[in-house]
Amino acid sequence: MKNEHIINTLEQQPLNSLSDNQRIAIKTHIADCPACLNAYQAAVIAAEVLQARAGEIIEPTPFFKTRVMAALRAQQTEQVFSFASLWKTARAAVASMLAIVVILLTLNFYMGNSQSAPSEVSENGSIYSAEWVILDNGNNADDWTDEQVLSTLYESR
Amino acid sequence: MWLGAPLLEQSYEHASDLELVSLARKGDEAAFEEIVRRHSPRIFRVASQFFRRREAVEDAAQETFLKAYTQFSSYEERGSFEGWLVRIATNTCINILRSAKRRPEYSISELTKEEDDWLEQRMVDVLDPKQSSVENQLVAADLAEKLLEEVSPDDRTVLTLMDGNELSVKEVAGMTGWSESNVKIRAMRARQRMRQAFEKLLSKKKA
Repeated sequence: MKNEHIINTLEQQPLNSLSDNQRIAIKTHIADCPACLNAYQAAVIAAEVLQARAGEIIEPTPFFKTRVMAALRAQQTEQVFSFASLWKTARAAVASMLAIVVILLTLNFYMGNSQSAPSEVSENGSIYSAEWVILDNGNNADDWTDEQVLSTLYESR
Repeated sequence: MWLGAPLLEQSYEHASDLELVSLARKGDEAAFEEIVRRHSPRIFRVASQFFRRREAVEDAAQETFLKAYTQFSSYEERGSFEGWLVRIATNTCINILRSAKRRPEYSISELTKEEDDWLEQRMVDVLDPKQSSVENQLVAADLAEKLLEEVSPDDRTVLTLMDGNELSVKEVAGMTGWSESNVKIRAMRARQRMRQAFEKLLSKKKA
């Protein structure tokens, strides 16, 4: 230790945890090394002020418990109020969105119904329209002759 | 003892921490009140290491308990409940310090006459320490506070817990949630800064 500086020892562990051997080595070293003496002085004083500060303890008052419970209730009330105020602000938007959804659903329902099947009665009172005969009655379209198709078409006009 | 239902008022005092936590999780405010009553001295001791004004200590302790109330579900019941609370308190205090603005009026370069005299006296008898009076303890604590104001919250934490309160690396790691090697490195760096700050102060006085 005589030729080694003590700064590392001072920084590696708290001063009060130094062993007796380490203390003796430090004191021997600082007797001949002014730079390390300064470092040691600073470390000793730093440790002392920190211990003095650590001794300052503030105890809770009997009212502390009441204070925490009041803060807890205030926090819970605040949460309820924040939800209520959020709803108050957003309810107009939510209501208008709902109305739009209802309108769209209604329109969809009616439009869907009107486009879903061909009209069963044609304008001239025939049961089936020409399109229905040609397109939808494709199952037996092969059985029809050209004449039958043409006459059906002309009859429907 | 625990029946899963609210207890009689006297029973809360005799209930274990785990029983109280189970009840508080279900919204039993009386159980939470007992937790606050039982653990506030320990939480105040932790917060006192970070703040000096009563108001600041009470604010930090209150925030700790409110956080604990909302985080009861994350308490896994493996370690001690007090250890869990202490960790919340330590991290709450560090976060408050991190978010607080530094106060320039608390500067180590501006010492009061008492602090100046105390430092001069200590420089003389540093190799032969004497029992300090209560007044001197107060002056030393003032000086410590000025110095701690100038270091980072993390440095402050390791310095006050390890060098001030003589806690081990393991204990500080448990309180902060940092790894042991991290605590060692931070402590070394913080001691170095603290020592350098004092060396600067002492060299000014010597000059």
